[in-house]
Amino acid sequence: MRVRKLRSKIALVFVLMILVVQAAVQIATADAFSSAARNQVNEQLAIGDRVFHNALQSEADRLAQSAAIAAADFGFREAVALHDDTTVHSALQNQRERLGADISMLVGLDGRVMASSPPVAAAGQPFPYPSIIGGQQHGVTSSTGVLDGRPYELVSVPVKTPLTVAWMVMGFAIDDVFARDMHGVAGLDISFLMRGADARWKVFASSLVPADRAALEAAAANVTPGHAELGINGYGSRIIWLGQGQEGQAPVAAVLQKSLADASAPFRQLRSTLLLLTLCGIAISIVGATLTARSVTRPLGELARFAERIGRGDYRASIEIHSNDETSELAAAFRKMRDDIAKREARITELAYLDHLTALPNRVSFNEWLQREIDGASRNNNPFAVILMDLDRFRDVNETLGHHVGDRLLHGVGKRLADSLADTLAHAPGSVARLGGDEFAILLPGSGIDAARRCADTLLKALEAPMLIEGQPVDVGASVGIVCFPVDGTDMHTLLRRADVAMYSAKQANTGIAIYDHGSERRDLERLSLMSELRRAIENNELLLYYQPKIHLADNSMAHLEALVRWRHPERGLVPPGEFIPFAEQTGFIRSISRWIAREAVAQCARWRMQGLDINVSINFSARDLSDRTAPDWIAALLREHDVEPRQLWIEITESALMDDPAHALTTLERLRALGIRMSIDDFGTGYSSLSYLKRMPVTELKIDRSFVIGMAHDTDDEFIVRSTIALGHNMGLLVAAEGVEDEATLEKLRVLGCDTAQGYYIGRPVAADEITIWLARWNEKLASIA
Amino acid sequence: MFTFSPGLRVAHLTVALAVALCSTRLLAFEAQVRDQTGAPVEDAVVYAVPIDGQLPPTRPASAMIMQKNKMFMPLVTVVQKGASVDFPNHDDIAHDVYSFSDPQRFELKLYRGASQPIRFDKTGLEVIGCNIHDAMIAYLLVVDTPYFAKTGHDGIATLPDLPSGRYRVLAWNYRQHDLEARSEQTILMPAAVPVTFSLQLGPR
Repeated sequence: MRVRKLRSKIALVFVLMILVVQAAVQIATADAFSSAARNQVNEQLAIGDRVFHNALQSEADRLAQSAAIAAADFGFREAVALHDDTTVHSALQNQRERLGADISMLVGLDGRVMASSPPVAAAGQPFPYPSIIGGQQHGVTSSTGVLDGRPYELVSVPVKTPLTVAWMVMGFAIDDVFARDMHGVAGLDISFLMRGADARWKVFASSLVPADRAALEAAAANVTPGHAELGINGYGSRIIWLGQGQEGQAPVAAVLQKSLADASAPFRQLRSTLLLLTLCGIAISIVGATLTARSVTRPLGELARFAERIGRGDYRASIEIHSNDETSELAAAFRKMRDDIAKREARITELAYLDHLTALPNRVSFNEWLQREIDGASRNNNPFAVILMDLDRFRDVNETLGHHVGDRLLHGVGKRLADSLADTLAHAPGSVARLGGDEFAILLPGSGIDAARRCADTLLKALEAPMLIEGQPVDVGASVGIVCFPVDGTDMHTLLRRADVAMYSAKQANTGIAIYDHGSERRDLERLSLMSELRRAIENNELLLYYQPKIHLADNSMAHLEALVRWRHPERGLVPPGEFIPFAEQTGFIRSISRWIAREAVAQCARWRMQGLDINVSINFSARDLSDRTAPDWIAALLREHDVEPRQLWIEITESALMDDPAHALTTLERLRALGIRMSIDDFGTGYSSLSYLKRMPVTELKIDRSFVIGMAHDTDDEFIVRSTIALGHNMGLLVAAEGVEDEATLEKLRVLGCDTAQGYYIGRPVAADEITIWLARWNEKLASIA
Repeated sequence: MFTFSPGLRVAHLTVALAVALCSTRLLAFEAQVRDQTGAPVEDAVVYAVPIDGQLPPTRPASAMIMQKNKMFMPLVTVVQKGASVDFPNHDDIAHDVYSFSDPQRFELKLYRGASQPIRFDKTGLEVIGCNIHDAMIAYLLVVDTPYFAKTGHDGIATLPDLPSGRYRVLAWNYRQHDLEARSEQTILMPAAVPVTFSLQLGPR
C-alpha cells in the first residue's frame, strides 16, 4: 500500500507538471492566437480601407475617363452648345447606356441641372454636389452623393466648346452588386449605410447576408460621423465616410467588416492540433510517469522486504536489482549490510559465549551446556559431574604483582586446564569454562563421582608447577568443589550452588578437593534462618544486655561494667553470642547490633545515674563499626540524648578488628577519643597487631586475652606472656586489664604483677542490669568486711 | 493684324502722329486697357463705332487665323462684319476647326494646309476650337466698324485714322466673365486724351 502511494505520488507530480505546462501553453497560445487574429483583422481592415479607396477611385477614374470621351463627342458638344435639349437628353441617355453608368447629368456653369438621365433631378434645380464641378476646368473629381434617395459614386467632366460650357456628371449606383464587387476586390464585407427618413442609419447596399445587416444596423444606431469603428460582435470593423453633404456631414458611410471567426479560422485549426498534441502529450506523460514511478517504487518494495528479512535474522535473503542506477547501488549496499550484520552477529554471539581473556567459553556457554546436559541426562538417566574450581589467593597476586600479571595468570591457568582436560579426557568428553573472576567450571558428562575426583586431581596437579609470567614464577593453587547429577541436584541452580558450597569448604579447610556434603546445607540453612531471626530479634526485644563487672586491682573497687549482648530466642532459648555475633560480623548486621547495644548501654547508664549510681559501661565494637564513619556522630548524639558524659563510656575493640584496617580505625578512634570516650584493645595477644600502629592508637587500656590468664595458673609460658604484656602496656603508657579470672590465686597473682584491672567469673558473672545493683551491694559489703 | 515689335510700333506711332498732325481730319486714337489690379491687359480689343453710323464704304479687311504648333495664331482677332477669315493649317497634322458660337456656326472638317475662307456676316464673338485638340482656342470678334485695334503688352491699342466725329469706344477681352459684355466710352474725335478702360477680368 505504501509503495503504491509513492508511485501514484510521483506519477501525479509529473502529470500535474505536464498539465500545468500544457495549460500555460494553451492559455498563451489562445491569447496569442486571439490577438493575432485581431491584429490580422485590423491589418486586413486597414488594407481593405486602402483597397476600397483605390477600387472606388479607380472605378470613378474609369467612369471619368469614359465620361471624358463621351463629353468630347462632337455631336454631343454641338447639341449642348446649341441648347438642343432633346438631343442633349438623348445623348446623355445614350452615353449612359454605352458606358454602363447608372446616371448621367448635364450641369450648367451656374450649378443648375440642365438634363438628367434617368431624371433623378429636375432641370433647373441646383446640382447638390457642386464640389465636383466648381472651379476646375481641366481636372476630374469624384464624390459619393445621394440623388433621388439613392447613393451614387459621381464623376464630372467638363464639356468644352471649346470653352467649358457645362459639366457632364456620370455616376454608378452603389448597390449590392457594387458591394459584392468591392467585397471581391477587398476581401472584406462592405456595407453602405445612409441615413433614412427617420435619421437612423440604414443599410442600403451590402455584401452581407440579411441577418448580419440587421446586426450592423443595430450596431450603427448611435454612430456619428467621425467614428472610425462600430462595435459589432464577432467582427472587426472600420467606417469610411464618403461624400460631402449638407452641413458638412457625409451622406454615406461605408463599413468594412471582417469576421473574426474567419480571421481566426486558421488559428482554430492550429489550436485544435495543439490541443490534440497536448492531450497526446498528457497521455504519454501519464504512461511515462507511471512507468518511471514504478521503476523506482518496485525496487523500493523489494528492498523493504529484503530489509525485513534481514531484520528477522534471515541472512540468506538475497536481492537483485537489474537497473544501472542508484537503486542497484542501494541493493548492493543492502547486501553488504546483510553480510556485515551477519558477521557482526556471529562475532557478538561468539563474544557472548566466549571469555575474552582466556579464550575459554564463558559462564553463559557453561550454563547452556549444563542445561542441555541436564535435559539430556534427565531423559537418558546418564550421570554427569560438575567441577567448580577457584584459585587460591588470586587477589593477593593481583594486588602484589598487578592486574596484568593476574590476567596473564588466568590465561595461563585456562590454557593448562584445557590442555590437561584434552590430555586426560581424550575419549571421555568434558569441557572447561571460565565463569568469571578466578572461577573455572568443568562439565564432565557421563562421569560419576570417582571419575570426577580423578579428573580434579589431575587438574590440580597440572597447576602445581609454577607459572612463568614476565620472567617471574608465580605459584598458583586452587580449591575444587564437586557435585554429581542427579545425587546432588537435578536443576542447574541447585547444582551450581552446592558446587560452590563444596568449593568453599575445600578452600576453608585447605583440602584442595571437596565433595558436596549434604549436612552442610542444613547448617547453612539454619544459619540463614538464624540471620532473619536475628533481624527480628532487635524488633521483638529478644536481645538484652548482661553486665560483667571489672574491678581495680589496687583497691578492689569497681572500675566499670562490660556490656555483653544475649539473645533470648523464643524457641531456642538463650543463644550464646558466639553463635550469632561472628555471623553478624560477616554479614554486616553487626552494625545494627552494635548500635542497639550502645543505645541500651547508654540508656542504662542514665538510669543508674538517676538511681544515684555513677557507673561506667563499656561496649564492644567490631571492625565494621570501626569503619563506620558516622559512628562517632551517632555515639555523640546518643550521649547527648541520654545526657551521659562521654567519660562514662568505654569502647572495646579486638586486636584483630583494629588491624583489619588500621588507617581507618585510627581515624575513627581519634574522633572517639576527641569526644572523650575511652577505648580498650580486647583479646590482646591473639591478633596480628603491629606495634607501630599500636603506639599511635589513642587507646587507654590493653585487655589480655582470657586464654593467657586462665593458663597463667599452671603454665609458666602464659604467665610470662602476661607479665610481658603488663610491662609492654605500662611502658606504652596504657592500663592493662585481664580477662578470665576464675580463681583467687590468679587474681592475687595479677595483683602482684601489677595488672590494673581484672574481670572474670570469680569476680562476677554477666548478669542483667537489675542484678548488678545486688552484686554491687554485696561486693561493697565484702570490701568493707575485708578492710 | 500682326503684332509688331515694340521698336516697330514706336515707329508706327510716330508715323501715325505725323500723319495725324499733317491731316487734320484723320487722327489716331489711343486707348489703354487695364484690369482691376491696374495691370495692362494684352490682347484686348478696342473698337470705335461712329455714333452717327457713318461707315466708310471700304470693303472689310480679311484676316487670317493660322494653326501652328497646335495653336491658333493669333489668339485674338478682330474683323469687320462681312470680312472673311482664312484658317491656314501650318502644322503637319490635320486640324478640325469649329465654332458653335451664335454669329456663325462653322466647321472646317479635318484638313491640312489651306482652308476655305469663312465669311462672317454677323457681329459677335466667335469662340473657335479644334475638335481634335481641346486646348486649341481662338477668339474672333466681329465688329461693325473698321476702326479696331488690339492692345499690346503695354495694354495700349491705337486706332488709326479716325475721322472726327463722335464715337462709341468699346473694349473687350477674353478673360471677361461675361464674354458678351463690352466696356464702352464715348469720345469725340479729335480727342487729345487717350482713353483708359478698366476691365474686370478673371485669371489668365
